[in-house]
Amino acid sequence: MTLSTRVKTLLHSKSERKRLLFYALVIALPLAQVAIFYFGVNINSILLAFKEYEGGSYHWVGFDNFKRVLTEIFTDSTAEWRFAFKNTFVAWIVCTGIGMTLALFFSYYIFKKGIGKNFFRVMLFMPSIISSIVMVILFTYFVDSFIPEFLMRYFDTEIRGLLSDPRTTMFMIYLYNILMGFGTNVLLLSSAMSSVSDSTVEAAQLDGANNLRLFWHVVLPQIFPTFVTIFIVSVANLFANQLNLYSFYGAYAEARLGTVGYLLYKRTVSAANAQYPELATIGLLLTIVIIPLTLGLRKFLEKVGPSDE
Amino acid sequence: MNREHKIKNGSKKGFSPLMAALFVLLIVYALLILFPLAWGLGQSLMDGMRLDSTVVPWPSDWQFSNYIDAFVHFYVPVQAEQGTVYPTLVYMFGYSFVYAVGSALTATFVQCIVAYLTSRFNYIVSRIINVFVLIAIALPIVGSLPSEIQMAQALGLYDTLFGIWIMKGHFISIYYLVFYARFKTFSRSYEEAAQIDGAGNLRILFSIMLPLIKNLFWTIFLIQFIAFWNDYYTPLVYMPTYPTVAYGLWYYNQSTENALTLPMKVTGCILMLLPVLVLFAVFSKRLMSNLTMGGEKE
Amino acid sequence: MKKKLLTIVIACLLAVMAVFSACSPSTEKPGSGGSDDEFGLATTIDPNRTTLFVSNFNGGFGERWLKAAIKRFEELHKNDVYEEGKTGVQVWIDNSKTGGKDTLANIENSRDAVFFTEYVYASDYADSGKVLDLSSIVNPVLSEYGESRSIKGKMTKEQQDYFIQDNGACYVLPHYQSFRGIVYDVDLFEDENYLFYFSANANNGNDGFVMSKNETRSKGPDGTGGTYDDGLPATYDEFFRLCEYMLEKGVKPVIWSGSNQAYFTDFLAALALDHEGLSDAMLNFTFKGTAYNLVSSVGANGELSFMNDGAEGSGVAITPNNGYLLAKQAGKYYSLQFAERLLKKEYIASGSMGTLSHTDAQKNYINSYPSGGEAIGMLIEGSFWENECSDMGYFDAAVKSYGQEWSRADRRFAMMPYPKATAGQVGEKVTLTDSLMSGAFIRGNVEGYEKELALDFLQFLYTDESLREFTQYTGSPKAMNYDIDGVEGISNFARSVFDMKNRADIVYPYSSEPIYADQPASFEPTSFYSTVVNKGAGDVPYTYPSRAIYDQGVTGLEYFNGLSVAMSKSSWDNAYGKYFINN
Repeated sequence: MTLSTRVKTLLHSKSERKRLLFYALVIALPLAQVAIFYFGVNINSILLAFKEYEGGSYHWVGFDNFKRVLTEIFTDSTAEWRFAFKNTFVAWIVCTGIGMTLALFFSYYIFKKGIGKNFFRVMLFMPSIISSIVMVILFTYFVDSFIPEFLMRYFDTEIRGLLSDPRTTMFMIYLYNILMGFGTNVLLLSSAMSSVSDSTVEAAQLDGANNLRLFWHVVLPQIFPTFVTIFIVSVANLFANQLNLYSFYGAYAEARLGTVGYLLYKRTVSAANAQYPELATIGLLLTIVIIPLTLGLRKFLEKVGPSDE
Repeated sequence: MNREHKIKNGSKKGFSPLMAALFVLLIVYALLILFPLAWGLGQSLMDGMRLDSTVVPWPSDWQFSNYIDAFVHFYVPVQAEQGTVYPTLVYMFGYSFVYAVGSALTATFVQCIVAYLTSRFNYIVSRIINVFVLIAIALPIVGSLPSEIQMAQALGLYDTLFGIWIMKGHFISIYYLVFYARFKTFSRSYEEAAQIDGAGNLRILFSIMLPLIKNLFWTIFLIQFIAFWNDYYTPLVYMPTYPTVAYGLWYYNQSTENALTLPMKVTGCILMLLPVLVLFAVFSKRLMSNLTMGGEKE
Repeated sequence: MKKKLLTIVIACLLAVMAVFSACSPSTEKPGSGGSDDEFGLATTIDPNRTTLFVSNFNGGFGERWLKAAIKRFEELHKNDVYEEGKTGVQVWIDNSKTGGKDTLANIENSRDAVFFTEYVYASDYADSGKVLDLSSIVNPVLSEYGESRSIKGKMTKEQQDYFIQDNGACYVLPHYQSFRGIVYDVDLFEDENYLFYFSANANNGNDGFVMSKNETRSKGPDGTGGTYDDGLPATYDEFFRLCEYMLEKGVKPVIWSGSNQAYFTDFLAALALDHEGLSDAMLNFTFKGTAYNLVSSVGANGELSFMNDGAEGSGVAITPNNGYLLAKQAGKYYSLQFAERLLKKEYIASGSMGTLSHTDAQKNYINSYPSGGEAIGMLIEGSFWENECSDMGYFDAAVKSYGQEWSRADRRFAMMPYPKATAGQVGEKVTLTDSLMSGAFIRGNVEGYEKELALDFLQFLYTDESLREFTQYTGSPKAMNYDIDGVEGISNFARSVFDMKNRADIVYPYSSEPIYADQPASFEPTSFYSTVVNKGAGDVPYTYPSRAIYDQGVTGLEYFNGLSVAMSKSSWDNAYGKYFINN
């Protein structure tokens, strides 16, 4: 159907007109909210990438910031960007890979009403309840002060704090992020699994499917859209993920621990007016990379993913 | 009945290896969460001025004065028309409740409605919004704080309880995508059947679509409620005269005015945690049980 | 949707909202016990007096200094009319924990007229148009207070260059001052069982340490006998001999905050800049002048060769074009050598490379001596530490546990003058580095009586009497030139800091040069130590020497060499090319 034919259909059919009116009226307010509080506020911040601060105001400089930022990233004399990108991808693989896999299986355990499901359901939800300020304080003191002091006092064994010891620092940070990542994911996946009909499950079990087969052939296909959504958002947030480093260290994390998200956030917090254009440029460049990746990945997964048929 | 019971719950003979492995992993996970919490609870009962550390917070050393002190000393000075006022924990809990519930309700509702419209109404605007949300989630914006404040002030939304709900009521969120994905799975037959029966678009939305999504709605509401409960930055910047518990804890952490030792710091953490745990305990059955019921009618 | 649940939620929401909108929190500070105020100030706003609202960053320096000044100011103006229908003034403190650009972002809508806060980049404030020009109070002599100097006259040349614009306007005044250094426990050092002082007689049979209190001590870092630093380590070598001696006596040499290694790094930067001296140190912020200590090579025995512009000793002209060369300053090399020698497990107290908070480090330090266990000799901290420790209640707790003689008033701590890297430098003036960017300013849109009152109050706070009172209450100096002669109630530590400040050159780590003013965070002293080290497994970036040296086995020399890899010519050209001077 051509566009003009479509428009004609829309305008001439009474039900289509009613539908369009309903749509327009309901979506108007949310769009207005975004127009004011997103575009209105942020357009200036995005345009900063093409400006330079001099003499108390911003001036248009075209792509100069892009040249400078790309040179900084690719020459990387401080090795900061190298580590930031490496840590970002490793963290994504470890935390998202392990975290999401476990979240899937833990959700399945609850779906299958495993032993202690109510208790575990509460425990899995805890990371969503507990504020990051609270959990970081408790976790940091527990692993870095209590455990070494306890071992020293009662077992005469000396160890360094698990966060302070460079051999275990990254492991503890990954562990923390995996633990804290369960809440939302398990909730969303459990919610999706609750939509799987009992009759389908029964039929599969009657056909002799064990738990693993049931999960793989019945449950996963039906919750796949939810899984893809969570996965895609984790990709979209790849360069925004700070790995909670700011909660742990403030602006004082070691350079070799940082992710791209942390590096950008740290610079933003301490930036003066003259540094905003450079930061806006970095933000835009990262977005230019991540958007096609995210959209492409989503299309790919939707195409090759299991069908609930 | 026995056969159906067995099918539903798995055979009692031979606990499945997968389930056994998951059980062990879940135990480990639970311990990793519970130990720091238990330690924190113990620490909150210790005397912070004590110079010799007992390491393990034994019950014999417990004192409950930290909690009493917290209610006295846990305050945030704010500027009001009548002068500096000192909202204590009770006020902070009240402000937190209003902020978190109102913002979560607004945000969840807007995300749900927009997701419904864009997933069920195949207009070009819908597709644009869908792509836009993904871009907006990924795009880090810098240096927008001053203009955000100015905009809020210009619209009369700054430093008001309802104003923050409006500012939080946007659909640029992962939860829009979650709603979108869920709405996409619903068959068109529901709407077609309703239309045949003479239902209008509004009726279809409120009587058919929203009930279908109610589990997810409350799940997301709960997640966002907790996120807003734990958010200290937004109240700090946009509602300075309505300090929430999270902001109070952040202020408490930063300030030496309140003479903060580690046990007192942890006491603040526990106090902030308690209301959410209580709320969760009260509403969990209703909310969590919805997660295991069927969503889509056959 | 479950209407009942939604109805309950909305009903609760509205109910709570109604309750908390109608009820207003108390104007009385919780736990204050009614109308008690240490200084007798009113605890409610007085409608019969003109009120001036003041915002104070309530961190390590507290608010007592401000309250004391307010008491005198209110007394001074008790009969003055600023606002029609009202007699007298009332200054009301709004304590805050926001600093820098957070304060600036929302300043126009604040009820506070006068602000005292930290991380104030004066150039940003000047450019913002949101703060008031203070030249009307900065330039005139304070004759109405019986003084012969103006506020400008109390500033150093470097401060004037930074805070006063080319057109004479001044938008921010320097507020308090803080230095990083080595705190030592004078009572411990003078304890007959320890006597941690060097003797004037290096061959006295006790490895050069005094054997009695009356024995003549060495000249110390200033190279002059009979002065405040006699017996203290004059050089790095002496400092580490002291550490060894302390260990022999069962005393742990040093402690610092492990959770924030920036404290230790700040200290190293201060040590580096002390070695450089004022004019070379300032190059790191002005990029204008001559550098005389740029290392061209390090010999096998650690002997340094220096760069020059042709003739030996001629130094190297520094401009924004070649600022990267400052990574080669000898002070940075020596400070890293100091770090490498200090970062041995036996020298440092537990938690210093862990998660020990700065207040816990202070607590452990002050209690180590009276506890009867292993005492700790020295604390690496900022000069505000004693006030902060006192506010935390740790001195009071020590009195409770160990007796009145361990109170803050009865104990003697002091700031140790920095030891020198080489014997040849002994006798050179100490160079201290101000470590907090604190500032005082007035909201730009003040008008009428509010403006007049705000200016009067701010000017009042910079009279000599107010400056001295600040030091009396905080134990720290204001960033101004004044004396504390005859002022009572100042602790031994505060006096030692003040005395050292008066003898020292002060580096104010800021400048008005565009290369600095546009990105001050990039040139903070802590940023000197961004390095890249390759020990065979590829380039690894480090920010904190302590972590690299203690945890990763990086040597001081490797760390130093990496500074110029991190700040290479190409990366410098790319980042700062627009500031280059075209010849």
